[in-house]
Amino acid sequence: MPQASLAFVLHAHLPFVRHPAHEDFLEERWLAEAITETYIPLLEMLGALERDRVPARLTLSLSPPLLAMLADHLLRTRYLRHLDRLVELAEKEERRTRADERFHRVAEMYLARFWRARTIFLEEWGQDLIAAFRSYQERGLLEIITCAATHGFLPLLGVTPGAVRAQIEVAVAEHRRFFARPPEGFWLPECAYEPGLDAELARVGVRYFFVDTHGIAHATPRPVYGVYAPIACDSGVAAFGRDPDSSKQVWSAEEGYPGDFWYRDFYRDIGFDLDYDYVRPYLPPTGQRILTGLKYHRITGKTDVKEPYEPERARERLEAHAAHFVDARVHQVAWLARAMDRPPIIVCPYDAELFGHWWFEGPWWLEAVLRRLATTPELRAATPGDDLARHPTVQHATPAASTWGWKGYNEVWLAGENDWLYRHLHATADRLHALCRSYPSADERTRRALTQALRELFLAQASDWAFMMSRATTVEYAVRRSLDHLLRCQELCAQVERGAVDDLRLAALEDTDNLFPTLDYRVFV
Amino acid sequence: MLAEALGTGLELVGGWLDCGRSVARRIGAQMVDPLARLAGWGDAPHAPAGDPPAAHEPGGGETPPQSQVEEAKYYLGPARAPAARFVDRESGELPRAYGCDRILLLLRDPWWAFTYWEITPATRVHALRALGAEAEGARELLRVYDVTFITFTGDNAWQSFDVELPPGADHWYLNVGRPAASFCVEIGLATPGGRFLPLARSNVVTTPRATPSPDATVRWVDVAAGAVRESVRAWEGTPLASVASAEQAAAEVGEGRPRSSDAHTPRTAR
Repeated sequence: MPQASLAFVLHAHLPFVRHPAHEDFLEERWLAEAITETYIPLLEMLGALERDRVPARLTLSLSPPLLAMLADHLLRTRYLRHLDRLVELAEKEERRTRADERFHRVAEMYLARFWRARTIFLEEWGQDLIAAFRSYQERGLLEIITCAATHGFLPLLGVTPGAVRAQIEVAVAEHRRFFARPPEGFWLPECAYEPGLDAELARVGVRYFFVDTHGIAHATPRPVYGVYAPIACDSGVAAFGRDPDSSKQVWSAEEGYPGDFWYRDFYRDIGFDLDYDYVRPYLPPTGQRILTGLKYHRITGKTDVKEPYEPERARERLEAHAAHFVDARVHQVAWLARAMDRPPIIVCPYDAELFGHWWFEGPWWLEAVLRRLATTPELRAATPGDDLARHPTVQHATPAASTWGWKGYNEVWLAGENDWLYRHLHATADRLHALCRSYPSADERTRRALTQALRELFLAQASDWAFMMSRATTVEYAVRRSLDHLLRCQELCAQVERGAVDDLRLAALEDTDNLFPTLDYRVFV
Repeated sequence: MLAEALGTGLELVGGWLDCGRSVARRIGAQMVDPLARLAGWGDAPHAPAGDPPAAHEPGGGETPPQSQVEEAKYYLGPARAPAARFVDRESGELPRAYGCDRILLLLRDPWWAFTYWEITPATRVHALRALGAEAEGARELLRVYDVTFITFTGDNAWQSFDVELPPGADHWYLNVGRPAASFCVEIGLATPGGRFLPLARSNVVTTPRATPSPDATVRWVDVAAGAVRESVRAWEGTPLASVASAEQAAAEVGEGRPRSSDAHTPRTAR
């Protein structure tokens, strides 16, 4: 039987959060936590697989805002400071817990882990994690793809001419800048597709993207292989659909692996559990209790009384879960082989931050799965690009508009809590678009002002803000960021329209919202 | 294409009966200042007009674990510090109006669309003048047109339905009620005598299919790098119904699954 392909696709993204005016800004911890708990463990995993010559292949989408933050000098410095504090806290914890072996070994685990993170970040990669991912791409373990410039929710931005195109073109330009090659694939933010978006991807040379299961199941004409083979849109760009089974095994509340009782609990954290004065130095300047990253308990069950975490038991469980996952895929492809005349591809897309940040054991699970795949003759780890190279003849069909969000469509990003935003996003984009078009060329100051205005528009367009508003997480911050970037964009537009650009103000905004250093406003004409 | 168009025409009848019922169900939207509402500074959150039906839910009705994971990316702790901590925030306010007539239609799902609009005072005055004596008692309303497969010229829609608006409304959720169909909307003034004077017309949106396509055409293309071309591949297989097969495959591997486990529930304040 020909080998079926298993394509893990990890989407790594965080909104651009950088507040140089603040010495210690709470939301900058999103990046710090993701680096320590997800990106570095993934690099460790890749290093271990490479060392053991495991033929692993993964697709990783690194969003442009995430790349901008990982490349930023200030945020690197702040990350290192954060990590140093974490090491210090873990050292105190190692001493504090010596009387109780159950907690002491967990404290030792954290201390070792943070030291290792520090070594990988500082010594192995000289603070440049992008170089780390790039090197694994060059050595064949990774296929790095891109995402929209600031993770804009493209179907709701398309009413402004050029808005979607600018999000896509700038993403591809940033990808080229960091990886010196064009991206083969594109992660549509939130898997939000509508017919026609594929033509925009074709313009920039992208060969494939992803949609949720129903995007393929409801495609026109009906795809004969369902989600187990790509389809080709009118533009020739291929769409790969999410496999519902493997995604359920990881995501499902009832059957999903991350909820196993032996796995580490995400919420139970010493930032809340220990004496306030003891943890105070590791809390933000406001003094509010938050998660520190040191968590000693396992999920235990549907109870608030949590048992201590036992790393060895968790290891056993993740091995069992990895075996179960691979076994389920083998059964799945055996069943599919009876109905298909080409080897199926099983596409498993996940938020990268699921692994390590939310599901502590996730990176080890992934590593265990990839090791098992290497010894499973029915399956091989592959990227969508590998699959297209092996099977370039694809059924022609147009996916149905869809997202991977709650209920499968746009409702998370277009709801009572965030629908007010679109009026302002569209009006501001239209205004800037008209202004950019009126300057086929511009003097240096006007060019800088228009370019910064475009950066501000991009930042306002991030789908993260609408998501936070509708999911009631950090609503105030999300609203604030939306307003701030819209106001900054409108202010710069007004200055250009009046012919009175304020140099100091412009320089300050360029310094704060400093992503996309090579951007030029003419991408938006 | 013709067959599909005909099929759509027949489906229209049923679809529009449903639409009529939903219009009757619709209630007036409460108007809350959007800028006040956005940060929870205003009154209760604005409820979209009408009673949204449960959309097709590929991921189940509850907050799916996937959303929980995304929320967890941003979860640092339950308490939030006050806004004063932003020293780098902007102090201005967004404009309440942008000074041009516009109505936009955005897709929410196969059954619902969202529309927002702005009509300048000058346009309103001009329109009321144009109505003359009929302006007395004129009401603002939305007229939603089914323009599936049509280049809309203003009077050739398959069907339309109206939504009466409460004073001051500037956005609305429309229960268009039909997947795989195209819609546009006008905002205008309706006179007691039955005349409708449009003030602005929206873009057209097409709702996605919510079921597998009846189109079983099988055509192959070759997408080898650099060129896309027709492929002459012959195919006589049996189509795979993706979801059904997936479920069947899942049933076959049902044994040996991990036992039911506890799902995390984010403790965010809701």
